[in-house]
Amino acid sequence: MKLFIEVEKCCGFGECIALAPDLFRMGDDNRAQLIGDGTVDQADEERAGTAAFACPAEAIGVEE
Amino acid sequence: MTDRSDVLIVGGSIAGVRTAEGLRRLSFEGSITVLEAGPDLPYDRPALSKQVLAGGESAESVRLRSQADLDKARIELRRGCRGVGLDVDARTVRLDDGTVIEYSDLVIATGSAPRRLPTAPAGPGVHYLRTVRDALDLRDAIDGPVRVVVVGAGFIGSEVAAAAAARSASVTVVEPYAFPLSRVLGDLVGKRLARLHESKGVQLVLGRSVREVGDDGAGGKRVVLDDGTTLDCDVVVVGVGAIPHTDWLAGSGLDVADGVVCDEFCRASAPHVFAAGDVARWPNELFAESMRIEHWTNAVEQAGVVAWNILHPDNPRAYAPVPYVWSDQYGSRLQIVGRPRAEDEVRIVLDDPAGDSLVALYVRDQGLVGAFGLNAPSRMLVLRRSLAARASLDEVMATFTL
Ligand SMILES: Cc1cc2nc3c(=O)[nH]c(=O)nc-3n(C[C@H](O)[C@H](O)[C@H](O)COP(=O)(O)OP(=O)(O)OC[C@H]3O[C@@H](n4cnc5c(N)ncnc54)[C@H](O)[C@@H]3O)c2cc1C
Ligand code: SF4
Repeated sequence: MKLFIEVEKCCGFGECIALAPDLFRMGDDNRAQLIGDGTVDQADEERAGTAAFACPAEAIGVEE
Repeated sequence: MTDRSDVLIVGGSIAGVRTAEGLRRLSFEGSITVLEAGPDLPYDRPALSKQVLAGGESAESVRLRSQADLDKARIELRRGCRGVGLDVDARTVRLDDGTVIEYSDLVIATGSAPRRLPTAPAGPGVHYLRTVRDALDLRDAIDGPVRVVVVGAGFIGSEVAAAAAARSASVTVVEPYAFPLSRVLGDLVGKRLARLHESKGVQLVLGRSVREVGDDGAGGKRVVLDDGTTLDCDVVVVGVGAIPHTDWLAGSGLDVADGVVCDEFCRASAPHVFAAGDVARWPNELFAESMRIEHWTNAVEQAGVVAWNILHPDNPRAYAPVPYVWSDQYGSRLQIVGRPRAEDEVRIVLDDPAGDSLVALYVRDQGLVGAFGLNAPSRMLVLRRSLAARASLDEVMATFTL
């Protein structure tokens, strides 16, 4: 599973960072960033999916 | 004709669709029907006054769900279907074509509509902004070196002004308060926002309201202010707030008072009726205040709680969020968390002209109640958490002196 962020959509709410601080961080451009290249270990997939759904701006995408 | 749906949702925008999806995520297997009065699949409304006006985004690019997405989640979205009546005893909703739909649980997610200025009815040259159609029409109107008058320096008015200025229009904003957003954020922050507008060449006419909008006799518009000043222009855009869509509930007996009145679990005044999004009013325990919030993130969060509460009537969750708003104007990001008020004590804890960033805390009865941030997203994230945890003011201040 791989995550990506459509940065122009990110509204800076920070839900992704609250739920998965090991996967997301806030960038200097007012937008969330991925930590690493977005590849998610199998053990973390559910958590990553929850973070993606929680994003109110629907800025986080998931590739299976 | 009578239909049936286990969960019936009226309003097919973000609150409605997120409630439906939330139910599926919680493994609900029953039928879900969403009624939407408009013609569109759900789309990203905040983008209308941002990416859509500013750039060349198409109607498709702001769409949030395809028909296939909805089919996959077994959500039946009926577009062009307006709810016109509710019977809470029979548990039915009546549609404009006469169809009656029975429900086990109902979610009211009919959102809000722009407040109309009686002095400026929509028509040629006078725009309101709520739907994707409105945005595309307005974008066409502000294409080129036109003169634009924006009425209201709230979020939508300010974003429209910024987008129009960026597209080489000459822009004047009329605002009845002393500064943009000063009604909520006070004069100190309002002044800073005024500078943001003026730095991009947008003219502000503050402390003035509109008496009349008419024709200028040369094919354009003439805006007359309360002091008699006239502003001639090509395009008028009105952004003076929103009112909840509750007319269709008249006669249902449901408690409505500037929104559908709910308890802390988002349950309306009749059994098996819930509300979410712009249309819902409920007591937020975290702030000991009755709230109705017209912001995107609220619609998303509240929809999740409503989905849970439909499925867990014996174990419902109180909805007690920290309100959050963002706005993008002139390349800057504004954020508000909590419930700031103009009369609160305002403490500027960060002011960096070089980075153009600012953080203001709003303090009431010795406690933090809200914060405003300009280009300071990481700070605002921490403040949102502090508010959620009801951190003491000392703890919050300590994080700024590091
Ligand atoms: C231009 C613009 C920019 C915005 N920018 C921001 C922003 O930057 N940040 C932010 O937080 N918020 C922003 N908002 C506010 C945000 O879009 C709303 O809070 C959000 O759309 C609320 O969602 P909702 O589903 O509750 O209501 P709505 O999006 O209003 O949807 C309600 C739906 O119900 C339908 N409906 C109404 N009555 C009936 C009926 N009787 N029967 C069937 N269907 C019905 C309507 O057609 C509509 O599709 C913006 C709003 C606008 C207009
Ligand atoms: S949850 Fe979404 S909107 Fe919020 S910071 Fe993360 S990516 Fe951005």
